[in-house]
Amino acid sequence: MIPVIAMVVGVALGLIINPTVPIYLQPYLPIAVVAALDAVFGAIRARLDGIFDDKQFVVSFISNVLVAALIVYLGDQLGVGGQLSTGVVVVLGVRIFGNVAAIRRHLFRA
Amino acid sequence: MTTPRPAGPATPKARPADREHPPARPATGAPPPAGRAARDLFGPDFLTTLFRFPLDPGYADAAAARAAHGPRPPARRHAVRVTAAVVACAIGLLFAVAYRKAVDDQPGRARVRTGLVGQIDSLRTKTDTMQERATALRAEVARLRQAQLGGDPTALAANEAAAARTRVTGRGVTVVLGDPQRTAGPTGQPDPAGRIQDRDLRQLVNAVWAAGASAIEVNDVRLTATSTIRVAGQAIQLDAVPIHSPYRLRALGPATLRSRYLGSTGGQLIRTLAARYGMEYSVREAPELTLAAAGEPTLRHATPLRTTSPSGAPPGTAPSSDPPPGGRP
Repeated sequence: MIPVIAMVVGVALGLIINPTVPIYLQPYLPIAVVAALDAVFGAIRARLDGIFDDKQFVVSFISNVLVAALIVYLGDQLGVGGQLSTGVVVVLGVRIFGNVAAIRRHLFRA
Repeated sequence: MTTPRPAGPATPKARPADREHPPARPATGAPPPAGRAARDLFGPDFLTTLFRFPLDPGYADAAAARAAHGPRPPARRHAVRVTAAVVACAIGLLFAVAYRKAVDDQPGRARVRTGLVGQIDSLRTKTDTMQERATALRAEVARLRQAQLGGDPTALAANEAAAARTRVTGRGVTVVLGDPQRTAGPTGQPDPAGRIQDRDLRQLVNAVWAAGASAIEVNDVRLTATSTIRVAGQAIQLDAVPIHSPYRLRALGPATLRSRYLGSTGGQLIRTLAARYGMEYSVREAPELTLAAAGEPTLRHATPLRTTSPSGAPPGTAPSSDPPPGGRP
């Protein structure tokens, strides 16, 4: 419950103080959002499965974001940034879909 | 991912492969199958595994570790909880920032576009008013000059008419030349090969001049001896004013203008082009046409109509206290 409240607080903070993203971080913003979504849905599903773990949540989010950013950065340096971004989005997207499907089964038994 | 793993042996029990959830349910009290989950994840069929077990196996491992070693000590648990809350807060912040950026970007583009359209409109209006003012001022200059010169302005008037500086009225010819309506292929797009090009228009204008026209106007832009007909992008520009199809040419000239134009080589060429590409084309006599004056030309060279000795003119009666370069009589 606490993480949910914290996240709502974070959204409110972001909307109120409206920070500007530095220009060199802007390419990573969409990837970071997808990685964060993956961590959030993974956490919700683990919670419903009864195996949620705070440490796992922290580590999965940070590693997701770092690895995704690293892949995109490497891709940019190699000139295949767009393709690698697509790869990251596809893999994380698949996980998000799978987790959402599990959450749906938990909530609606369907 | 430094979750401690149970040291127990991995369960060799083969479960049905199509089960929906990753193995670990701590409530069952079964031996923790964490090792197997990791092995499955990086098995030969990685994509199938990814689709089947989207959840990070770390959660199962952590749950198994808790089941094996009991919960974390309270101080540590508290610290981990706070960290998780901070991370959740950061995620929320990230979502908000991404949302704000996406929302900001969109109207930004629209705003720039609207702003540009507004600027174009206001500048166009400004140009129109300035044009009107220039016309009025020009008329005033002509009137004042008339008053100053008195005498015989016919030579000047004739020169001005030849330079398209005055509005002229008379009988003439109207030629309409339009892009073909005919479409090419099933796309419904007009045939690009039949589009009227700047050189077609130049050909037409030159043919009409050659047929004896004394003044020509195309789409309300009066042509002078130095007018240009060029292409810029998709549009034809006449003295830097973009004009569009259909092109309406109005020319003043003698009664024989139409027949001479139609009989000329240029006229026949235009007719052939129009017939071949299906352009809209018509040549009509007009009993009375009024052509507007052309825009103010850049004065590069001038010669006095009457030679007046500089000493003969009193200083105060110079036609203008601020003569343009090159001077006017």
